[in-house]
Amino acid sequence: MHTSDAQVKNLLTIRGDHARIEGKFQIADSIEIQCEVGGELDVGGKLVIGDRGVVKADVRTVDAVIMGAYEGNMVATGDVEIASTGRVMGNIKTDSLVINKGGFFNGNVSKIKDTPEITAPAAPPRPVAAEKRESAAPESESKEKDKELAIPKLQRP
Amino acid sequence: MLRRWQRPPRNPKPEITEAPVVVAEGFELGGKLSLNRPAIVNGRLRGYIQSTSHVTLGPSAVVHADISARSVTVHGMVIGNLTAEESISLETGARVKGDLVAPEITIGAGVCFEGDCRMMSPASWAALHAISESSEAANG
Repeated sequence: MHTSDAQVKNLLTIRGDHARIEGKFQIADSIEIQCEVGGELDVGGKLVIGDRGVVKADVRTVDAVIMGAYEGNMVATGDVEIASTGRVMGNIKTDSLVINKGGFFNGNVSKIKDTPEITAPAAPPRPVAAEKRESAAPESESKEKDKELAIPKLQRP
Repeated sequence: MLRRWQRPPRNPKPEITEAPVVVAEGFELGGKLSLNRPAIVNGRLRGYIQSTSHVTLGPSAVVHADISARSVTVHGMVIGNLTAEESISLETGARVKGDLVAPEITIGAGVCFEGDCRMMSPASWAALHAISESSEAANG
């Protein structure tokens, strides 16, 4: 009963080295794939692509572990892990991606949630600059910011 | 012993040593950094880093720069494209927005990454890019 991953409780497994299935699949819980699958996958739990699994599909899932090959667009609301044997080509939309050493990934990663700390340059001013800003008039704030952004300029009296 | 305190030689080619260049926490740098020895950045940096060696961005690093190096390890924050001849490693706590190009890329748990990931050498990526651009030009 106890699998290596305790989180994966009900793991539906599709096996068959040369089997190829295609279509639109809705899996309520988790699934492990050890064959070739194409089409569309909607997984309610964890998608595990085994080391013999080849998936060419658009996937919506919570978590994903890729030990085989995956090609397509994936949206994962949970964690995505590309294992050392995993090969991924395509785009992944997730907030949590791990690529292990040896894992292969070509594609784009985008976030589901907006992360303002990355999009907006988190640039708290230097203490000295802050003191200056306090003494300066509020309208000069933007100018002060420009100065900060610019590569050192000569300041004229 | 005294030689150490003499002025640097006229020869502009710097001596390759393994002593790292450190941008300490609290420092702010702007412009282009060309390096031939390992670099550790813990401060703020804006511009461009080019290195023939390893570049490490510490947990407190805030870097707005494209980085091109032999290998890059990131613990801090980067907005910019990272290109490495050997490997790129985004460690726990790293926040990266930009494209990664390296034959070997590892992303640890708890890393915030947004961008393209190309696992190939920068040379082959440039070649591929040139091909796709020329074919686009031919089609257009």
